[in-house]
Amino acid sequence: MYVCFEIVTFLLAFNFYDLVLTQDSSCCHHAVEPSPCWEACAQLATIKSESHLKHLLQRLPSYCPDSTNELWICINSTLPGASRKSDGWEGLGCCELAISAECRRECKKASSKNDITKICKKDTEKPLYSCITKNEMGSVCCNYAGRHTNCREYCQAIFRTDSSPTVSQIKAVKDYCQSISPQLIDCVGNYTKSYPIRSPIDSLYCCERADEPHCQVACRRILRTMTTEHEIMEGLINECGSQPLPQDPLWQCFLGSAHPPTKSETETSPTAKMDGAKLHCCSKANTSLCRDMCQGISTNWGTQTWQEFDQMCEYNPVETDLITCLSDVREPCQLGCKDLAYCTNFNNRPTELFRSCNIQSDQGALNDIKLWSNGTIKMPFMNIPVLDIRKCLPEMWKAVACALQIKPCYSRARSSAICKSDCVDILTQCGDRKRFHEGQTAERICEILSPVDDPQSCIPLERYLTPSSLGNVMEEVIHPCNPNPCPSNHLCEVNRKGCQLGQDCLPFFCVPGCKLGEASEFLVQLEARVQVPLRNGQAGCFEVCTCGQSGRLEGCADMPCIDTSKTCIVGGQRKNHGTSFRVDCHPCSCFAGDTICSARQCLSGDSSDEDRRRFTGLPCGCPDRFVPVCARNGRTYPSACVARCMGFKDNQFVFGHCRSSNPCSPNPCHRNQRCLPNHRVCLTDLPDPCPQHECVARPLGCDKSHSDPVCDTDNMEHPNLCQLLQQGKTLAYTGHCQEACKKAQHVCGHNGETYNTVCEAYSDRVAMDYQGPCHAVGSVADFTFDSGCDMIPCPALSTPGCIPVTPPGACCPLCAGMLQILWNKEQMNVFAKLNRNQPVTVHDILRILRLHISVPQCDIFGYLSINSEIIILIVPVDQQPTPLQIEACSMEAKKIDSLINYGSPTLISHVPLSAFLTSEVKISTIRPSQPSEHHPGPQAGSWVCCAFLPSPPESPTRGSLDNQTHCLH
Amino acid sequence: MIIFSSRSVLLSVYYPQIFLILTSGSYLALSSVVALGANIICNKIPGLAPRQRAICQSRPDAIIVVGEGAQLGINECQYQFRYGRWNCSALGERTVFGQELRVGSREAAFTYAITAAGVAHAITAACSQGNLSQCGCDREKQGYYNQEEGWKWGGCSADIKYGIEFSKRFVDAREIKKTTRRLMNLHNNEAGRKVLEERMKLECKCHGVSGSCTTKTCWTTLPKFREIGYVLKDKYNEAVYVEVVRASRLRQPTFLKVKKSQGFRKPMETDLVYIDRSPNYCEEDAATGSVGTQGRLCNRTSPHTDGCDLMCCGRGYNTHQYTKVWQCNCKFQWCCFVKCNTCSERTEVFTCK
Repeated sequence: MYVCFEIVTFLLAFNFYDLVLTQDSSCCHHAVEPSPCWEACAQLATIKSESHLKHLLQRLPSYCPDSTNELWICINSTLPGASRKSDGWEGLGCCELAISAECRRECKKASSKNDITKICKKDTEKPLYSCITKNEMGSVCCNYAGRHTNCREYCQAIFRTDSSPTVSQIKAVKDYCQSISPQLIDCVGNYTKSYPIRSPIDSLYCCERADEPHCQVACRRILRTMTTEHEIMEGLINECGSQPLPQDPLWQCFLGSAHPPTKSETETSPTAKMDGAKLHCCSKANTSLCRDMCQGISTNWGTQTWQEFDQMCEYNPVETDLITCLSDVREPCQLGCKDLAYCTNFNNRPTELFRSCNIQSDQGALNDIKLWSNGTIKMPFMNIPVLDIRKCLPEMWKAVACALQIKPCYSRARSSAICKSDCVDILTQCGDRKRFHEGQTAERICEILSPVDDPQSCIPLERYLTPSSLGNVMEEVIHPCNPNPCPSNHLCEVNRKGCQLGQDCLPFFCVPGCKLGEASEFLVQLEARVQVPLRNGQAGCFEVCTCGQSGRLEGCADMPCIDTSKTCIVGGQRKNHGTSFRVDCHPCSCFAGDTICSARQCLSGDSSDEDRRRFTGLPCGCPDRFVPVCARNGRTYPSACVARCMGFKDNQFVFGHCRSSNPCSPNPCHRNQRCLPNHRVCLTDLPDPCPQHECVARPLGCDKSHSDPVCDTDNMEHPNLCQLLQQGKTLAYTGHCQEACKKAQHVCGHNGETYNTVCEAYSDRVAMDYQGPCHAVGSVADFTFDSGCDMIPCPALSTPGCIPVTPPGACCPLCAGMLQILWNKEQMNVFAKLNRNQPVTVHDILRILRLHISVPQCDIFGYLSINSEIIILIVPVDQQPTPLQIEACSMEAKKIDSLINYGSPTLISHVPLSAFLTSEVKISTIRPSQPSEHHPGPQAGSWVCCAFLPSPPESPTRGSLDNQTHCLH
Repeated sequence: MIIFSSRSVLLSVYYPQIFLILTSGSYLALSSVVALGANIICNKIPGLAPRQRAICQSRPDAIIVVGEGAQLGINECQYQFRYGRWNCSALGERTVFGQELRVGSREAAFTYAITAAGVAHAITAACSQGNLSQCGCDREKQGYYNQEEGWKWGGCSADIKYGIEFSKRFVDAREIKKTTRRLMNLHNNEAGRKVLEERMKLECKCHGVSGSCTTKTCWTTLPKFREIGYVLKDKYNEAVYVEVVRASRLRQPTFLKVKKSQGFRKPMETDLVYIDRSPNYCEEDAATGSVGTQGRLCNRTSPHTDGCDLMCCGRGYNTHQYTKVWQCNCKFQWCCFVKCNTCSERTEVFTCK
């Protein structure tokens, strides 16, 4: 306030010539040219009169709306120091008016209005902003009163009320302040004339709503000429000849733009009022009709559109992508099926995906068969007359009914359609041709029902004509969250922490979550950040919200819209936004007109001998020497050549491993804080390098009941990190202390980083490549002839007979499912900007993806490859996994791959996973020659960890888990 | 343009003020606010009781919906009584709830019931469409309901409880005076809302292509308001004549009982009740609020209430003749215009004297 006061006097004291300088006209190029905004901005620089300039500055906002963001940022930033204010800013007293708790907190911390604009949205925090504006005006005006308390108090009274100041208030100010400060009277006068928030002209659009033309004209005149609320009100009532009624569109408009003077209760963002998950799917519609209907059912419940949607789109083969997406939201594909009483052939299939393996669907299949036995199969769009299905191929019909209800989705496209050949077979034999309509044949019916015959996208019935070959070995691979054991509004999370010693616990947790809108069935974890389409359905426009403690989406911020109409031209072909394709060996994707491709080195069958000789398998053809450098993103690159190839300048990396540097020396933290090294790899390009430490205040009290064990560098276990820090210890790794990690035994991780122990590597969510410190780099290409890895002694494969995968950049193969993900750096940067410049790290990605791994026998590891792909490994947790466990992990990998490539909202609604463009999957299989014998369960005490030992077979899901090994997590 | 850097010392002193103006200014431009605050508009809305004004001021968004709901009720009333001598009009000032009938007649009973139901209907619909900030879908109707039968609540169930509650809070707040009429109005308001609540629909969607529909997602929806109109019209025809019982020591109206009933038979919850006989609505009458039927259109051949005999109460009617002209038999001519004939017809309309 002091500053304002000083400056006002300053304005008066100095001549206008100097003042002109404060506005650099170079900002004006941000305004659209020519526009009123641009003209006004340009005028600023040329004005010669002080009052004129003052006037124009005040009017500038009405010419340049807030959407001209850059302009305002420019004006504010070309005036450096502008945002710095003394303690206690004008808005401090208004903070209680903030609706969201986050905004209130931010408001109290802020030093200027600029600080809160990101968190406090102007359209939802109207009372706050109007209060701030008023306080700002008030502090400017009333400071003229100086030491005259009476005058000051009467002045402040004017700004304190919510409605227009009364005549007596204005008179009192005149009486008390006239002699003290004429400026104050002017200033107050300006305010009282223009209250409320002054521009009645802003409401001109309301006039068009009036029924009578003469009222419209009068309304416009009144808003242009009158200034106080009372005048406007009287004028409108007299001229339009009616009292204000809330059913009158004119008054509805005024009421709608009026904000309540009192603080309203927690408001929900409009996003919360719809189905954000379904809305994601609408963009996948192939016809505009279905797209519009999809938006209708997602944003506005209560209309009858869903019935039409059912008829027109739900079973329309043209809309397969849309339908699959909607099914993903309703019933995501999950591993495993068991405990069915009727569809017994579907039982004991822990490595296959199903959408609806539960008792209701089982019962449904039984009911279907009963109905069909009457001689007609009723489908939503046709009736099919059939012979007695109890005699004609009864097993086939049972498989059909079960498949339609249980909905297997193991095929790549995750659809649940029956293959055409099966359909034709069964209808040719059992269709009641006498009752077919004219022209109806088995072929034609099947053409409508299931036009596909590609086993990649349909369900071959043969698979379900016999029981699963596995028998009852379910404890090898369990799926505790399927069927969902949690109450509604709760998410099921696999328990990977294990139980506290000596206590029983369930293999899953039910945690509260947020729905993506009130009518949605799709839940996300608390504090998860999600990306939802804007309610207006404009393509490419999203907002990012956080799942708040209240169980609703909060703190939404708009993302810049993506122009989805822009296409890419690749090799003479036009590619639409969002399509993926290959160029040589590169996976590529078109994003808003930009073609984004991987940075691999390609070698093909027709490469020349020269190319082959030069081929190293590393980006830019770098030699495979291992002289590690640590780049500013926190990743260790095998050589300066590779780092340069990936776009780092020489001042952006240093020699040595990233983990061997100590980010806490010199100590970057405040004196009363402790510095903790926190090595991470950033996916974002922020101006600051990727932070490798955290400053934490010494914890005062710890929640002792919170169990999340950690191990310190002295190999002592603590119940949680807080207690470890309280005792002044240093964290070695998360999870229970492991015997095997007691003494340092260096291992090299897939990311080329050396860890003291394997436990530390796992704790960093990196899997081990080989024993000993890193000293070689592997190829990132599909072929290699010889590489620096030749001298590396690789550990034996965990399971004999498994065909392993070798992660890019690593030396040794392992049995796991692997994803190589191409992603969009620009999008990552957007997410960081929306999240107060918090970088996005590889850990963030892994944490979210880990929630999608439903089998506790598999865990997720990952890293950023040297050619900037995200590598995800889904690895069996047992040291000697069974073939079934390897298969399960491979299936999990395939599931996630499919979700990424189809842009399913299950994954893509999560920030930052929405920056994924395309994925490639490689999986380990077991050589068929190897008999698929079942190994005994994992060895007790095995230190490769995080497994539940088999729980008692009689209750595989709810059994006691106290005999498990200790876990890393 | 003046070179910036050379004057930087001077400039640095100026910035904060400029900044202040700009930020507060940019807010002004952004917010679509407002020529008029909620306070002043709500103070001027005719016929609101003090408590209703308070609700209006704190929830201007809801008051718009209330207005729409009341209008929904008024329009339905006019539709239902379009052929009657009383066509849902009355003398007097137009308020949010239309013109009020001064006599506690069946007609008054109907208007109260239909507007209370209209407000509840409109508020509930606005909630499920996300147009109101403080309500949404019915939170109780979420998650599993019936595991065995395999159907569950899903989607957005209309939160009729909120709508009814709001209607109660707002509509009933206009009954301030402790009179018999108050008891009648409150009863009819409640009856209207009850009728609406009883007619909530359950809609379900079957999952899967096979016919058995074993897994369903269900939600409640509002009935069409026309349906409520017809139900209330029936209730109007069977409205119950009641009288007041003054029970307390102060002889204040305490509850209503059915007139001419033995003992104290109370009217049913969903009955419409009235305390005064209806006027005939033939003539304009300030005492009853009747507008009269003068100038109303009537049907010369109808034997019902819309017939000129009944409608005009024997006063006779005026016949107006006019010629209706329109374009007809239009044909497209190559190329490119449309050629039409002009058709005309003589019609007569009749209005009451």
